[in-house]
Amino acid sequence: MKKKPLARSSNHGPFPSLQNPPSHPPQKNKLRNLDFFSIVELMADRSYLGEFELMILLAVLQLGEEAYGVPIARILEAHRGRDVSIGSVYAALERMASKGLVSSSLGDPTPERGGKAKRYFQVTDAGLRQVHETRKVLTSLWQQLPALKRRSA
Amino acid sequence: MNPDHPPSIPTWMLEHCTPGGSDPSLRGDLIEEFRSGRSAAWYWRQALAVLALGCLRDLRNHRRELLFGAFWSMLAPGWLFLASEFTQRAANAGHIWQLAWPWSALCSSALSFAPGLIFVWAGMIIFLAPQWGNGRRIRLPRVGRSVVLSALVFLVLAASLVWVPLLFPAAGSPVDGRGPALSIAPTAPFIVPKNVGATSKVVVTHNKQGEVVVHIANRIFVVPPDSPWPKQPFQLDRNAPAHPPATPLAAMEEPGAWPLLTRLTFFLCLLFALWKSQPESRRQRA
Repeated sequence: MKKKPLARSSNHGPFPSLQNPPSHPPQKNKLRNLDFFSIVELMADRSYLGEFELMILLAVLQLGEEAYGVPIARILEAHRGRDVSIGSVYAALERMASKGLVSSSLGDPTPERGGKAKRYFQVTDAGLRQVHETRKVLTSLWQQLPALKRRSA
Repeated sequence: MNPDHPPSIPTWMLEHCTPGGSDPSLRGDLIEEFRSGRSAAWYWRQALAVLALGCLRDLRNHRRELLFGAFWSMLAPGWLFLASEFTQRAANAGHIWQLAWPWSALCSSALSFAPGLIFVWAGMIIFLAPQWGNGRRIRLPRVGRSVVLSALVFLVLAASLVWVPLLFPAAGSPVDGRGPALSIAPTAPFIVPKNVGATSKVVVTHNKQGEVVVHIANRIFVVPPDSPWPKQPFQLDRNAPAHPPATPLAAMEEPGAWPLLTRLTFFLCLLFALWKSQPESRRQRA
Protein backbone atom coordinates (compact mmCIF):
# COMPACT_ATOMS: atom_id res chain seq x y z
CA MET A 1 0.00 0.00 0.00
CA LYS A 2 1.43 3.31 -1.08
CA LYS A 3 1.32 5.98 1.58
CA LYS A 4 1.80 9.67 1.08
CA PRO A 5 3.40 11.59 3.91
CA LEU A 6 1.42 14.75 4.32
CA ALA A 7 2.89 18.11 3.52
CA ARG A 8 1.95 21.21 5.48
CA SER A 9 -1.23 22.61 3.97
CA SER A 10 -4.55 24.00 5.06
CA ASN A 11 -6.71 21.28 3.49
CA HIS A 12 -6.44 18.66 6.18
CA GLY A 13 -9.95 18.63 7.56
CA PRO A 14 -10.53 19.28 11.24
CA PHE A 15 -7.39 17.49 12.41
CA PRO A 16 -4.47 19.70 11.41
CA SER A 17 -2.45 18.54 14.38
CA LEU A 18 -2.43 14.97 13.08
CA GLN A 19 -0.03 15.90 10.35
CA ASN A 20 2.39 18.07 12.25
CA PRO A 21 2.94 16.71 15.73
CA PRO A 22 5.24 18.85 17.88
CA SER A 23 8.72 17.40 17.94
CA HIS A 24 9.28 18.21 21.61
CA PRO A 25 6.82 18.40 24.50
CA PRO A 26 6.55 21.83 26.16
CA GLN A 27 9.18 22.38 28.83
CA LYS A 28 8.51 23.74 32.27
CA ASN A 29 11.11 26.51 32.14
CA LYS A 30 9.43 27.92 29.06
CA LEU A 31 6.38 28.77 31.15
CA ARG A 32 8.11 31.92 32.35
CA ASN A 33 8.04 33.37 28.86
CA LEU A 34 4.39 32.57 28.19
CA ASP A 35 1.42 34.81 28.72
CA PHE A 36 -1.51 33.90 30.93
CA PHE A 37 -3.68 32.47 28.15
CA SER A 38 -0.90 30.23 26.84
CA ILE A 39 -0.34 28.88 30.35
CA VAL A 40 -4.07 28.13 30.66
CA GLU A 41 -3.92 26.26 27.36
CA LEU A 42 -0.94 24.23 28.54
CA MET A 43 -2.66 23.45 31.84
CA ALA A 44 -5.70 22.16 30.00
CA ASP A 45 -3.66 19.63 28.04
CA ARG A 46 -3.52 16.40 29.99
CA SER A 47 -0.06 14.94 30.13
CA TYR A 48 -1.16 11.41 31.03
CA LEU A 49 -2.87 8.74 28.94
CA GLY A 50 -6.55 8.08 29.45
CA GLU A 51 -7.99 4.58 29.34
CA PHE A 52 -9.41 5.00 25.84
CA GLU A 53 -6.23 6.61 24.54
CA LEU A 54 -4.11 3.79 25.91
CA MET A 55 -6.39 1.22 24.24
CA ILE A 56 -6.11 3.06 20.92
CA LEU A 57 -2.33 3.25 21.13
CA LEU A 58 -2.18 -0.49 21.83
CA ALA A 59 -4.50 -1.18 18.89
CA VAL A 60 -2.35 0.97 16.58
CA LEU A 61 0.76 -0.87 17.75
CA GLN A 62 -0.97 -4.22 17.20
CA LEU A 63 -2.09 -3.31 13.66
CA GLY A 64 1.29 -1.95 12.62
CA GLU A 65 1.24 -0.78 9.00
CA GLU A 66 -2.51 -1.31 8.61
CA ALA A 67 -3.66 0.97 11.42
CA TYR A 68 -6.48 3.19 10.19
CA GLY A 69 -9.89 4.07 11.60
CA VAL A 70 -11.90 0.95 10.70
CA PRO A 71 -9.56 -1.81 12.01
CA ILE A 72 -8.74 0.26 15.11
CA ALA A 73 -12.45 0.55 15.90
CA ARG A 74 -12.99 -3.17 15.18
CA ILE A 75 -10.22 -4.21 17.59
CA LEU A 76 -11.63 -1.97 20.30
CA GLU A 77 -15.13 -3.36 19.71
CA ALA A 78 -13.86 -6.94 19.89
CA HIS A 79 -12.04 -6.38 23.17
CA ARG A 80 -14.53 -4.08 24.85
CA GLY A 81 -17.58 -6.00 23.65
CA ARG A 82 -19.54 -2.92 22.65
CA ASP A 83 -19.98 -0.50 19.77
CA VAL A 84 -17.23 2.09 19.30
CA SER A 85 -17.75 5.43 17.61
CA ILE A 86 -15.20 5.98 14.85
CA GLY A 87 -15.54 9.71 15.52
CA SER A 88 -14.37 9.23 19.10
CA VAL A 89 -11.41 7.19 17.83
CA TYR A 90 -10.43 10.09 15.54
CA ALA A 91 -10.98 12.61 18.34
CA ALA A 92 -8.67 10.66 20.66
CA LEU A 93 -6.08 10.30 17.90
CA GLU A 94 -6.26 14.05 17.31
CA ARG A 95 -5.59 14.72 21.00
CA MET A 96 -2.65 12.32 20.98
CA ALA A 97 -1.29 13.79 17.74
CA SER A 98 -1.28 17.24 19.36
CA LYS A 99 0.83 15.75 22.16
CA GLY A 100 3.17 14.14 19.64
CA LEU A 101 2.22 10.57 20.56
CA VAL A 102 1.00 9.54 17.09
CA SER A 103 1.55 10.68 13.53
CA SER A 104 -0.43 9.96 10.39
CA SER A 105 -0.13 9.65 6.62
CA LEU A 106 -2.68 9.37 3.82
CA GLY A 107 -3.08 6.32 1.59
CA ASP A 108 -4.59 6.23 -1.88
CA PRO A 109 -8.31 6.94 -2.42
CA THR A 110 -10.32 3.79 -3.17
CA PRO A 111 -13.77 3.42 -4.79
CA GLU A 112 -15.13 1.18 -2.01
CA ARG A 113 -14.59 4.09 0.37
CA GLY A 114 -16.42 6.55 -1.87
CA GLY A 115 -13.13 7.86 -3.25
CA LYS A 116 -11.83 8.81 0.20
CA ALA A 117 -8.27 8.01 1.23
CA LYS A 118 -7.40 6.02 4.32
CA ARG A 119 -5.49 7.79 7.08
CA TYR A 120 -2.84 5.51 8.53
CA PHE A 121 -1.61 6.11 12.05
CA GLN A 122 1.77 5.36 13.58
CA VAL A 123 2.84 5.52 17.21
CA THR A 124 5.81 7.85 17.64
CA ASP A 125 8.76 7.23 19.95
CA ALA A 126 7.21 9.56 22.51
CA GLY A 127 3.97 7.57 22.26
CA LEU A 128 5.79 4.30 22.78
CA ARG A 129 7.55 5.71 25.86
CA GLN A 130 4.20 6.86 27.20
CA VAL A 131 2.69 3.39 26.71
CA HIS A 132 5.56 1.74 28.59
CA GLU A 133 5.40 4.29 31.36
CA THR A 134 1.64 3.86 31.75
CA ARG A 135 2.00 0.07 31.81
CA LYS A 136 4.71 0.36 34.47
CA VAL A 137 2.55 2.57 36.65
CA LEU A 138 -0.54 0.40 36.21
CA THR A 139 1.37 -2.82 36.92
CA SER A 140 2.92 -1.39 40.03
CA LEU A 141 -0.48 -0.16 41.23
CA TRP A 142 -2.09 -3.56 40.57
CA GLN A 143 0.69 -5.34 42.46
CA GLN A 144 -0.07 -3.28 45.54
CA LEU A 145 -3.63 -4.61 45.80
CA PRO A 146 -3.28 -7.88 47.73
CA ALA A 147 -6.85 -7.86 49.01
CA LEU A 148 -8.27 -7.50 45.51
CA LYS A 149 -5.98 -10.26 44.21
CA ARG A 150 -7.24 -12.66 46.90
CA ARG A 151 -10.85 -11.75 46.22
CA SER A 152 -10.54 -12.32 42.46
CA ALA A 153 -8.64 -15.58 43.05
CA MET B 1 -32.18 0.95 1.21
CA ASN B 2 -29.33 0.40 -1.21
CA PRO B 3 -26.54 -1.40 0.66
CA ASP B 4 -23.95 0.38 -1.49
CA HIS B 5 -25.16 3.86 -0.69
CA PRO B 6 -25.21 5.11 2.87
CA PRO B 7 -28.18 7.26 3.96
CA SER B 8 -27.94 10.62 2.27
CA ILE B 9 -29.05 12.88 5.14
CA PRO B 10 -26.31 11.90 7.63
CA THR B 11 -23.77 11.94 4.78
CA TRP B 12 -24.81 15.49 3.91
CA MET B 13 -24.71 16.47 7.59
CA LEU B 14 -21.20 15.06 7.92
CA GLU B 15 -20.01 17.03 4.91
CA HIS B 16 -21.66 20.34 5.70
CA CYS B 17 -22.52 20.55 9.38
CA THR B 18 -19.43 19.25 11.17
CA PRO B 19 -17.95 22.15 13.17
CA GLY B 20 -14.49 22.94 11.85
CA GLY B 21 -15.04 20.83 8.72
CA SER B 22 -15.19 17.07 8.42
CA ASP B 23 -12.29 14.73 7.78
CA PRO B 24 -12.66 12.89 4.42
CA SER B 25 -10.78 9.90 5.86
CA LEU B 26 -13.32 9.58 8.64
CA ARG B 27 -16.17 9.75 6.13
CA GLY B 28 -14.40 7.11 4.06
CA ASP B 29 -14.12 4.86 7.13
CA LEU B 30 -17.86 5.17 7.76
CA ILE B 31 -18.68 4.38 4.11
CA GLU B 32 -16.34 1.37 4.14
CA GLU B 33 -17.96 0.01 7.29
CA PHE B 34 -21.46 0.61 5.93
CA ARG B 35 -20.64 -1.27 2.71
CA SER B 36 -19.24 -4.13 4.71
CA GLY B 37 -22.69 -4.79 6.17
CA ARG B 38 -23.44 -2.25 8.87
CA SER B 39 -27.03 -1.01 9.18
CA ALA B 40 -28.40 2.43 8.35
CA ALA B 41 -29.11 2.95 12.05
CA TRP B 42 -25.44 2.30 12.80
CA TYR B 43 -24.46 4.88 10.16
CA TRP B 44 -26.85 7.44 11.63
CA ARG B 45 -25.46 6.86 15.15
CA GLN B 46 -21.90 7.24 13.95
CA ALA B 47 -22.68 10.43 12.01
CA LEU B 48 -24.47 12.00 14.98
CA ALA B 49 -21.56 11.03 17.24
CA VAL B 50 -19.12 12.73 14.85
CA LEU B 51 -21.24 15.90 14.87
CA ALA B 52 -21.53 15.88 18.67
CA LEU B 53 -17.79 15.34 19.09
CA GLY B 54 -17.12 18.15 16.61
CA CYS B 55 -19.31 20.50 18.66
CA LEU B 56 -17.55 19.46 21.88
CA ARG B 57 -14.14 20.00 20.27
CA ASP B 58 -15.24 23.43 19.08
CA LEU B 59 -16.46 24.36 22.55
CA ARG B 60 -13.25 23.07 24.13
CA ASN B 61 -11.18 25.14 21.71
CA HIS B 62 -13.18 28.23 22.67
CA ARG B 63 -13.39 27.64 26.41
CA ARG B 64 -11.71 30.98 27.18
CA GLU B 65 -14.35 32.82 25.15
CA LEU B 66 -17.13 30.88 26.87
CA LEU B 67 -15.78 31.64 30.35
CA PHE B 68 -15.20 35.30 29.61
CA GLY B 69 -18.61 35.64 27.92
CA ALA B 70 -20.35 34.10 30.95
CA PHE B 71 -18.46 36.40 33.34
CA TRP B 72 -18.96 39.57 31.31
CA SER B 73 -22.65 38.96 30.66
CA MET B 74 -23.21 38.58 34.41
CA LEU B 75 -22.23 42.25 34.74
CA ALA B 76 -24.70 43.39 32.06
CA PRO B 77 -27.68 44.23 34.34
CA GLY B 78 -25.42 46.44 36.49
CA TRP B 79 -24.14 48.29 33.47
CA LEU B 80 -27.63 48.75 32.05
CA PHE B 81 -28.76 50.10 35.44
CA LEU B 82 -25.97 52.70 35.34
CA ALA B 83 -26.75 53.60 31.74
CA SER B 84 -30.44 53.94 32.53
CA GLU B 85 -29.69 56.22 35.51
CA PHE B 86 -27.44 58.36 33.35
CA THR B 87 -30.02 58.65 30.55
CA GLN B 88 -32.78 59.42 33.02
CA ARG B 89 -30.79 62.19 34.67
CA ALA B 90 -29.81 63.64 31.32
CA ALA B 91 -33.47 63.58 30.24
CA ASN B 92 -34.59 65.28 33.43
CA ALA B 93 -31.93 67.93 33.07
CA GLY B 94 -33.11 68.62 29.53
CA HIS B 95 -29.88 67.43 27.95
CA ILE B 96 -31.58 64.91 25.72
CA TRP B 97 -32.64 66.27 22.36
CA GLN B 98 -36.28 67.02 22.01
CA LEU B 99 -36.98 66.38 18.36
CA ALA B 100 -40.13 65.83 16.38
CA TRP B 101 -41.23 62.38 15.34
CA PRO B 102 -39.66 60.28 13.73
CA TRP B 103 -36.31 61.71 14.91
CA SER B 104 -37.37 61.43 18.52
CA ALA B 105 -38.05 57.73 18.03
CA LEU B 106 -34.67 57.28 16.32
CA CYS B 107 -32.87 59.10 19.13
CA SER B 108 -34.77 57.08 21.69
CA SER B 109 -33.84 53.81 19.95
CA ALA B 110 -30.21 54.84 19.62
CA LEU B 111 -30.09 55.70 23.31
CA SER B 112 -31.60 52.30 24.10
CA PHE B 113 -29.16 50.30 21.99
CA ALA B 114 -25.96 52.31 22.46
CA PRO B 115 -25.21 51.24 26.06
CA GLY B 116 -25.60 47.58 25.12
CA LEU B 117 -23.32 47.88 22.11
CA ILE B 118 -20.74 49.79 24.15
CA PHE B 119 -20.85 47.01 26.73
CA VAL B 120 -20.32 44.27 24.12
CA TRP B 121 -17.44 46.10 22.44
CA ALA B 122 -15.86 46.96 25.79
CA GLY B 123 -15.96 43.23 26.57
CA MET B 124 -14.19 42.52 23.27
CA ILE B 125 -11.47 45.06 24.03
CA ILE B 126 -10.96 43.77 27.56
CA PHE B 127 -10.72 40.21 26.26
CA LEU B 128 -8.36 40.97 23.38
CA ALA B 129 -6.22 43.82 24.77
CA PRO B 130 -4.08 41.79 27.23
CA GLN B 131 -3.14 39.47 24.40
CA TRP B 132 -1.74 42.20 22.17
CA GLY B 133 2.03 42.22 22.20
CA ASN B 134 2.04 39.09 24.30
CA GLY B 135 3.02 36.58 21.67
CA ARG B 136 -0.45 36.36 20.18
CA ARG B 137 -1.36 37.64 16.77
CA ILE B 138 -4.70 39.41 16.49
CA ARG B 139 -6.00 39.68 12.94
CA LEU B 140 -7.57 43.11 12.63
CA PRO B 141 -9.85 42.34 9.62
CA ARG B 142 -11.22 39.41 11.58
CA VAL B 143 -11.77 41.63 14.63
CA GLY B 144 -13.49 44.21 12.41
CA ARG B 145 -15.85 41.57 11.06
CA SER B 146 -16.57 40.45 14.61
CA VAL B 147 -17.39 44.02 15.67
CA VAL B 148 -19.91 44.38 12.84
CA LEU B 149 -21.35 40.90 13.37
CA SER B 150 -21.77 41.45 17.12
CA ALA B 151 -23.58 44.75 16.44
CA LEU B 152 -25.96 43.04 14.02
CA VAL B 153 -26.63 40.17 16.41
CA PHE B 154 -27.18 42.59 19.28
CA LEU B 155 -29.59 44.75 17.30
CA VAL B 156 -31.59 41.72 16.14
CA LEU B 157 -31.77 40.22 19.64
CA ALA B 158 -32.49 43.53 21.35
CA ALA B 159 -35.13 44.46 18.78
CA SER B 160 -36.81 41.11 19.27
CA LEU B 161 -36.71 41.59 23.04
CA VAL B 162 -38.36 45.00 22.72
CA TRP B 163 -41.40 43.30 21.21
CA VAL B 164 -41.64 40.64 23.91
CA PRO B 165 -43.58 42.97 26.26
CA LEU B 166 -46.31 43.29 23.64
CA LEU B 167 -47.24 39.75 24.55
CA PHE B 168 -47.87 40.85 28.13
CA PRO B 169 -49.83 44.10 27.90
CA ALA B 170 -50.72 45.99 31.04
CA ALA B 171 -52.75 49.18 31.26
CA GLY B 172 -51.91 52.45 32.89
CA SER B 173 -48.16 52.11 33.22
CA PRO B 174 -46.15 55.30 33.08
CA VAL B 175 -44.05 56.15 30.08
CA ASP B 176 -41.21 58.48 29.38
CA GLY B 177 -42.96 61.14 27.37
CA ARG B 178 -39.78 62.55 25.85
CA GLY B 179 -40.19 60.05 23.08
CA PRO B 180 -43.43 59.27 21.26
CA ALA B 181 -45.53 58.11 24.18
CA LEU B 182 -47.74 55.73 22.29
CA SER B 183 -44.88 53.89 20.63
CA ILE B 184 -42.95 53.43 23.86
CA ALA B 185 -45.98 52.63 25.96
CA PRO B 186 -46.05 48.89 25.16
CA THR B 187 -42.56 48.44 26.57
CA ALA B 188 -43.34 50.28 29.77
CA PRO B 189 -45.05 47.43 31.62
CA PHE B 190 -41.82 45.51 31.46
CA ILE B 191 -39.54 48.41 32.21
CA VAL B 192 -41.56 49.82 35.06
CA PRO B 193 -41.73 46.78 37.40
CA LYS B 194 -37.94 46.73 37.56
CA ASN B 195 -37.79 50.31 38.83
CA VAL B 196 -41.06 51.00 40.56
CA GLY B 197 -42.23 49.17 43.63
CA ALA B 198 -45.83 48.40 44.41
CA THR B 199 -45.64 50.63 47.46
CA SER B 200 -44.04 53.58 45.68
CA LYS B 201 -45.53 56.97 46.22
CA VAL B 202 -46.82 58.60 43.04
CA VAL B 203 -47.00 62.38 42.63
CA VAL B 204 -48.40 63.96 39.47
CA THR B 205 -47.56 67.61 38.73
CA HIS B 206 -47.40 69.91 35.70
CA ASN B 207 -44.35 71.79 34.47
CA LYS B 208 -44.15 75.15 32.72
CA GLN B 209 -44.36 73.62 29.27
CA GLY B 210 -47.72 72.10 30.16
CA GLU B 211 -46.32 68.58 30.34
CA VAL B 212 -47.44 66.15 32.99
CA VAL B 213 -44.64 65.15 35.33
CA VAL B 214 -45.08 61.91 37.24
CA HIS B 215 -42.78 61.23 40.19
CA ILE B 216 -42.55 57.57 41.11
CA ALA B 217 -40.05 56.70 43.81
CA ASN B 218 -36.82 58.38 42.67
CA ARG B 219 -37.82 58.45 39.00
CA ILE B 220 -39.53 61.15 37.02
CA PHE B 221 -41.63 60.48 33.94
CA VAL B 222 -42.54 63.39 31.72
CA VAL B 223 -45.58 62.95 29.49
CA PRO B 224 -46.60 65.42 26.76
CA PRO B 225 -50.06 66.95 27.07
CA ASP B 226 -51.31 65.29 23.89
CA SER B 227 -50.57 61.82 25.24
CA PRO B 228 -53.74 59.95 26.20
CA TRP B 229 -52.13 58.37 29.24
CA PRO B 230 -52.39 61.09 31.96
CA LYS B 231 -56.14 61.22 31.52
CA GLN B 232 -56.38 57.66 32.75
CA PRO B 233 -56.26 56.75 36.45
CA PHE B 234 -52.69 55.87 37.34
CA GLN B 235 -52.11 52.21 38.05
CA LEU B 236 -49.10 50.45 39.44
CA ASP B 237 -48.14 46.90 38.75
CA ARG B 238 -49.08 45.02 41.93
CA ASN B 239 -46.75 42.17 41.01
CA ALA B 240 -43.73 44.44 40.94
CA PRO B 241 -41.03 43.72 43.51
CA ALA B 242 -41.40 45.76 46.70
CA HIS B 243 -37.71 46.62 46.78
CA PRO B 244 -36.42 47.33 43.28
CA PRO B 245 -32.65 47.37 42.75
CA ALA B 246 -31.19 50.70 43.78
CA THR B 247 -27.53 50.06 42.98
CA PRO B 248 -25.65 48.42 40.09
CA LEU B 249 -24.65 45.59 42.40
CA ALA B 250 -28.29 44.95 43.35
CA ALA B 251 -29.19 44.98 39.65
CA MET B 252 -26.49 42.39 38.95
CA GLU B 253 -27.81 40.14 41.71
CA GLU B 254 -31.41 40.49 40.60
CA PRO B 255 -33.00 37.12 39.79
CA GLY B 256 -35.90 36.57 37.42
CA ALA B 257 -36.58 35.87 33.79
CA TRP B 258 -35.91 39.36 32.46
CA PRO B 259 -32.38 39.80 33.90
CA LEU B 260 -31.59 36.26 32.77
CA LEU B 261 -32.82 37.06 29.28
CA THR B 262 -30.66 40.19 29.31
CA ARG B 263 -27.59 38.22 30.37
CA LEU B 264 -28.28 35.56 27.74
CA THR B 265 -28.53 38.24 25.02
CA PHE B 266 -25.15 39.69 25.96
CA PHE B 267 -23.62 36.23 26.30
CA LEU B 268 -24.68 35.30 22.76
CA CYS B 269 -23.45 38.63 21.35
CA LEU B 270 -20.07 38.21 23.02
CA LEU B 271 -19.74 34.68 21.71
CA PHE B 272 -20.49 35.89 18.18
CA ALA B 273 -17.97 38.69 18.67
CA LEU B 274 -15.18 36.61 20.15
CA TRP B 275 -15.61 33.28 18.35
CA LYS B 276 -13.85 34.30 15.17
CA SER B 277 -11.56 36.95 16.62
CA GLN B 278 -9.71 34.38 18.69
CA PRO B 279 -6.01 35.26 18.62
CA GLU B 280 -3.54 32.67 17.48
CA SER B 281 -1.22 31.33 20.13
CA ARG B 282 2.44 30.51 19.58
CA ARG B 283 1.58 26.83 19.42
CA GLN B 284 -1.12 27.32 16.79
CA ARG B 285 1.29 29.34 14.67
CA ALA B 286 4.12 26.84 15.07
